This record gives sequence, structure tokens and C-alpha cells, in this order.
Amino acid sequence: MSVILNEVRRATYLDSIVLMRISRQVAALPGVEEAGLIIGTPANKQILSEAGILGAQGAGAEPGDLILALRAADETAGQAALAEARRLIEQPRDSATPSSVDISRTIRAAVHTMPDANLALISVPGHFATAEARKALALGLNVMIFSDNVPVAEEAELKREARERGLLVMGPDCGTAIIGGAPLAFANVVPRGDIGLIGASGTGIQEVSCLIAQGGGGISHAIGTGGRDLKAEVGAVTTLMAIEALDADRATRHVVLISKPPAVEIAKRVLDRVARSSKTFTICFLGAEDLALPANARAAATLKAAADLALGRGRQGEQPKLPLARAPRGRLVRGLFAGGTLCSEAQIVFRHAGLAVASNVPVPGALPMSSAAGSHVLIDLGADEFTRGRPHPMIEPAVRDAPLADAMNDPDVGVVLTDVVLGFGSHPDPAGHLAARLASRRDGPLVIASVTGTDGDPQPRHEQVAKLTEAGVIVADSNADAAEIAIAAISGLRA
Amino acid sequence: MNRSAQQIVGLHEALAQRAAAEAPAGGLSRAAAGAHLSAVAAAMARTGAARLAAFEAWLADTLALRAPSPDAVHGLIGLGPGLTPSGDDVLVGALAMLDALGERRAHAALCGAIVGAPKGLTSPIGARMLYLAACGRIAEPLARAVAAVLGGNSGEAVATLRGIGHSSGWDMLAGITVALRAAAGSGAMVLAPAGRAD
Repeated sequence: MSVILNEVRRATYLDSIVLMRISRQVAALPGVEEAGLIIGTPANKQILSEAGILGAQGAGAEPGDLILALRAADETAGQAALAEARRLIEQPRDSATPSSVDISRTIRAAVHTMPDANLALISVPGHFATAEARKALALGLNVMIFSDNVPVAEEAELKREARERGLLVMGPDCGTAIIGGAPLAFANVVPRGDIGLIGASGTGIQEVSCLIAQGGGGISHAIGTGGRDLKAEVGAVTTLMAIEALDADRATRHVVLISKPPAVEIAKRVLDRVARSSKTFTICFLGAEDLALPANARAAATLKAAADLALGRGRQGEQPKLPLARAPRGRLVRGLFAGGTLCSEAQIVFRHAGLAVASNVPVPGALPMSSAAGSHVLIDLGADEFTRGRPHPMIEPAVRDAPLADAMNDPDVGVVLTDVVLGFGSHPDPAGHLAARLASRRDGPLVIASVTGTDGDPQPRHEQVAKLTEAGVIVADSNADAAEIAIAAISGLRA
Repeated sequence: MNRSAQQIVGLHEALAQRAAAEAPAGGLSRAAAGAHLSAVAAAMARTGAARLAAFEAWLADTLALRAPSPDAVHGLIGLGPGLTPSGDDVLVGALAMLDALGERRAHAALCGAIVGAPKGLTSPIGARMLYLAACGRIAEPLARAVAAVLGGNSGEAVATLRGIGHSSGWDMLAGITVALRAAAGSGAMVLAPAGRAD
């Protein structure tokens, strides 16, 4: 049941462009259905009333007041949005006063406030990211660049400059890292331990670190490299430096390397460096076949296999539990993924089972969407075509609603395969959202999901799993298991 | 500087096209062009369009020497986003245009409707701007833009107005456009003797 919340700020004057920006930001917050931020003239109150978001408090506003009105899915989401709106409204004033020590307007000022800082996380529009990263490097800081849309030539240049200074550049487009136990950007709360991760992909690191945590292990550091580090133009600068760093780190016993298959000469350079290390390695180049590995390294075909090897479980990790029900109709699997690497991993599981599979982000051997007719389809909803001008599905699970409804109504679809990614940065209740979408269904495809996360996350995993289970979703222990169960359900139908 | 009805309609169309393509969402200038977004923006667009139309009808009546109720003017006061609500900016733009066109009677009627409006319809800043405009005091860029419109240079008018605030300049342009259209429709311009000095 939606709630309407109003707040009135007396005699608050903000420029209209600031108000518009804030109201857009508030409207985009999780659970917010409608938001307006406008001065409280009688004419504007009528507008808010027409839009169905004027409450008693707003109705009492004077023309010189600012009305903050919103409609949210529930009280919790609404109060959270109000709190965020308050923060946004006060922000420009705070930063103008010297009394606020928490907000620094420049990297230099931030370093002045915290002289022992050694890492800057940069999240600005891609056009400005390189310049900000250079400033950070000049101040002796390692850099994590969350921003994307940085040209690859700039990335290569930046990483070479950083290497000369002995500093690490994680990214651009680096969504996940855990450094010294501190989760950065989209990351999960995992115990500290002796396994180091190096990953070109955010959700890859998240899945492996969570599976390691579930298996009783822990993470020393998880270093993100950005998706293009193993491309020839960049030359694996960050990956090689990360191996160097973890090699020298006494807390790290074993290193897991996660990436798409790199170019042959880059793979050789990386594996040569691995061979010289005193540590053992698990190499997970998703989709690569027949890797020639040094003696201290073993190959993992999937993220789950990588976690198992790192935990010393060999390839004998627990077999997935079989589904309780068979696919009731349809013979095809439709995968709807928030995690790009989870989508890749699922494709690999299908390929290993000898099944034709199509994707908008096909792994080697998978089909492009143009030849998807009649085959299983696994879609990465975080790909550009779905996120242009919209939040990523990990932040806004509603991005999945329309494709989910399509799949549920498609008579050819027997299984919907999906993922829920928890942790910092993710939506506060992605499973709750998905469960609500599925609550009213009577029949239709089986829904099988994995939940990437831990009980330490802001959205505790067991609570999220319970919500899905209550909604009749089959929840697997890992993303690879979810894919295996989907295949089993379909095969059962065929048999 | 007076122009024929046809020339004025042409100018108004050029201005409206620019506003439709370039004005920021949220103000009334876009509402006039029919664009809309969220429920609040949709309500704003709907109400804004209706009240702009009512104001245009009010202007047409006034230009036709009738004396319509000032409600249509009051309906715009305090409407919309901004430190000076969009509706206030529309009225100021219309005032400036009527003044420049030499439509003394309509200008005086609009001033009267604004000054006679109930208190508390708009923000203190909007109220002050409306009062000053009714006294004939407008921002310099608006005066230059109106002169550019009369000179047939819609491009220069848009370039001058877009520098005023985030949406205020565009909303003033909407007021200019409405005044031009009403004046052209009333035939007042054709009747006006050529070369009348302002």
C-alpha cells in the first residue's frame, strides 16, 4: 500500500535547477513512485493535489515555503527518501560552511583532512574521471574509478602513469573491491581470510567472495581491475600489479583471478607472472577452453568452481539439490540477470550441458540474440541497452519487471532463471520486490533464483531467501547451481 | 516597428518551435509545447497548458475591448517551479511584449489584474518581480529580447532569454509568444497605424 509523505521547509529558497535536480534524485530512489519539490503557492499545491501527492502538511504550506511531497511503496522507503531529500537540500549549504569537515570539495582538501588516506574512489561523469584520477595519483593515492565511459586510450595511459608511481588504478568501470576488509562500491560483507581476489568484473568478485564466505573461508583483499584491463590496449597493467601486491601480502595464501578470456599474448604475460609467484592460484577465465596453466595454478570453468578450488574443495563441491517440481509447461529457459558475469556463468553451464543458448552478451560458443529463436535465452539486464537513462537493475529491480512479465506469459518458457545481488550499493530489498511481482501468479514457469550475498549484508541473505521461498521461488546456493537446476527441470520435461 | 498579423504569427511560430525543442522540462514554456514527464510534471503540463490557454483567451477578450474577469491572470500567479514561479515569468513576458507592441489598454488591464490579485498567491520574490513589471520595470535581457522579437530576430530573442535563470527565460518567452498570438488573432496589429511610436 502506497504512502504519501509531505514535509514543509519554512522560507527555503533554492534555485530551480537545484530543486529539479533534487526532485529527480528523490524520484529515482528505491520505492519512490512519485516526488515533487516545489514552492508552496496555492497554484502549486493544486498541482501536487492533482498528482495525488499532497498531504495535510503540504496543504498548510505558505507561498515562501518549500514543499517536499512524495508517494512511496511503503513507509520505510518513504521515510528513507525523505531523509535523503533532507540531506540533498541541506548539502549545498553545508558545503558552503567551513564547519563541515566530512565533505571535501576536492581530493586535495580530502587528503588534508585525512593525511594517512591512501586510496581515492572516483565516481564522476566519465569525461572528468581521468583528470580526477590524475589529481589523486599526483597526491600519492591509489585510485578506484567507479565511473565508466572513459576512453580505453586514457585508461592505458593512466595505468602506465600510476605504475611509474607504484600506485594501483582499479577501473575505470570498477564496481567492486574489498581492500583491507573495507567493502568499496558494490560489495558484500564477507569475513577476512587468506584468499585474495583479482577480478575484471564486479558481480564475479561478489559471487566468488560470497561463496567463499558461505563455505567458511574469508577474503584478504579483492582487487577490481576494470573490464578492459586484460585487453591488448591496456596490457593487464593492473592485473599484474595486483598479482604483485597479493604475492607480497603475507595474509594472502591463495589468489583467484576472474576475467573474460583475455587475448592470447596477454594471457601468456599474466600466466608467466603467476608461474613466478610463491602462492597458489585459481584461474577463472569465463568461457576459455584448454588453458595451459603453470604448476601452481588450476583452472575453474565457473565462479562456483573457482570458489570451491579456493576453499580447497577441488571440483567436488556439493551437487545442487534437485527441484521439487518439474517445469509445468514450455521447454525453454529465460534468464533475466542483474549481474553481467552471472549471466556469462549461466551461459557456460548451459554450454557444458550441450545446450544451445543465446544472449545479448554471448560467451564464446553462445548465440547472439539475432538467432535466439527456439533456444534458451539468458539476458544481462545491466547491459547498456537496458540501463541507458535508467538505474542499473541491481539498484532498481523494477528494470526486470517488464521482461519478467513477458517471460511469465510466454507459453514457450518453462523456467525463469534469475539472480538477486545483495550488498552495499544494491537495492534495499530486491527479493521483496521480485516476490511481490510473483505473488499474484497462479501457474506459469518455474522461477529459479540465486542470491549473491551474506547474512552480514545490509539485506541479510537468509531474509531475502525466505521472501523468495515464500513466493514459490526455488532458491539455489549459487548462480551456477541455479543454472544446473534450470537445466534439470527442462530435461525432466523432455524425458 | 509594427508588423502585420501574418509576420507576427510567423514570429510566434518560430519562437514556439525553439521553445519546444530547447526549453527545459518543468517550466510552463514546455507545457505550452505539450511535453510532459512524471505525474507531477504531467499535472503541471496539463494545468499549465489550460491556464496559458485561459490567459490567452483573457488577452484576446481584453484586446477586443471587452473586460473579462481577472481570474485567468490570477490562475497563472504562483504556478510552477522556480524562485519566481513559471506563471509569474509568463505574465512578466506578456507585460513586456504588450508594452512593446503599444497595446496600452491591454497592458494597463494586465497591470491592474496583477496589482489587484489577492495576497499570498506567489512567493515573496515572485510577487516583487510582478509588482515591478507592472510598474514598467523589467530585466534588461527581457527588454532586449522583446526588441529583438519586434525586429523579426527570433534567434537573438531566444539567445538573450535563455540566459535568464534555468527556466525563467523560457517561461518569459512563453508569455511573449502568448501575447503575440493574442495580438495577431485580435487583428489589433493590422488596425494599428504603421509607424506609431512606442
